[in-house]
Amino acid sequence: MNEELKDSIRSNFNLLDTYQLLEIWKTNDRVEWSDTAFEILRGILRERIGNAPSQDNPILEYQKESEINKKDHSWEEKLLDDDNQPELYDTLQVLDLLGKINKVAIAVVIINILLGLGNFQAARLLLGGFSTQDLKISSGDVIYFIFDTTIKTVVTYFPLKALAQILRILMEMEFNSRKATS
Amino acid sequence: MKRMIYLERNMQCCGASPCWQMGLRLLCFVFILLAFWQIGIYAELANTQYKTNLISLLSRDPFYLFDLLLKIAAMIIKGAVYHLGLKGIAMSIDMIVETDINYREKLSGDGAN
Repeated sequence: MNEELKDSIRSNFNLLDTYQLLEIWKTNDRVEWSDTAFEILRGILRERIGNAPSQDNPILEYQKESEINKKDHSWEEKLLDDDNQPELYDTLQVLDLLGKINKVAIAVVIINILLGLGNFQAARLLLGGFSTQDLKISSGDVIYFIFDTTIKTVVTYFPLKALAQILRILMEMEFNSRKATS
Repeated sequence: MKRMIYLERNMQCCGASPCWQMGLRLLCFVFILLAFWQIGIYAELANTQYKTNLISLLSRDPFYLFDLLLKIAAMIIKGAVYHLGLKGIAMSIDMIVETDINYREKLSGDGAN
């Protein structure tokens, strides 16, 4: 960076009072101010107050307003807060159903694994009081157990998840159509 | 007015219709019945295969108790899957119908009420 530009930054900073310079220094906004500007600012602060205080964590990018809104108000809250509610279905009921579908999808996975273990000969013998030394587990048994459990889980878990997604999409479509009419 | 007529006409195919609601309740009842039917199956197994009653079979081998509880849970979960699936489909239809009504209103320029 040429000296002319550094002098220009320095002279601009010198126009500000110490309180303002300390504010800029502490905020540590790296989007608004360059690294060179901070180096110059450190020099000015040393001249004025003897030492530059500690800085906050650097701001490397600004959060968009939409992202902040997204965090504060989730999509579900937006649907529920809307004054113009649907007539054919209850939004709260759909959201409740989505929650239930997700819970049942997890329960399906657990139950299928336990059922698979129940049918697995080795698990039966272990529960029957046999020691692990008495067991002869064939690789065929293990492969069958894994394959059977996976297939049974997949054919239930993914359709349930897909249904939950379809419901969300349809609810969003319906919500948008309401906005279009109002 | 137009909206009300359309709503009434479409209520027959919606999840909110009394017929659909009764069907879902019946399905829940059948699956709860089937879940507890497993106890009957185990009692029959105890009588025929082990020549004993259900309680003594379950106390003799804890695996049977685990298996029985698991089968009851699996049946209830199966019922829950069917119930949620059907309810989800019903609600999807409701949403599609409502979306259709909203766009129809927009096209005709009729007010919401």
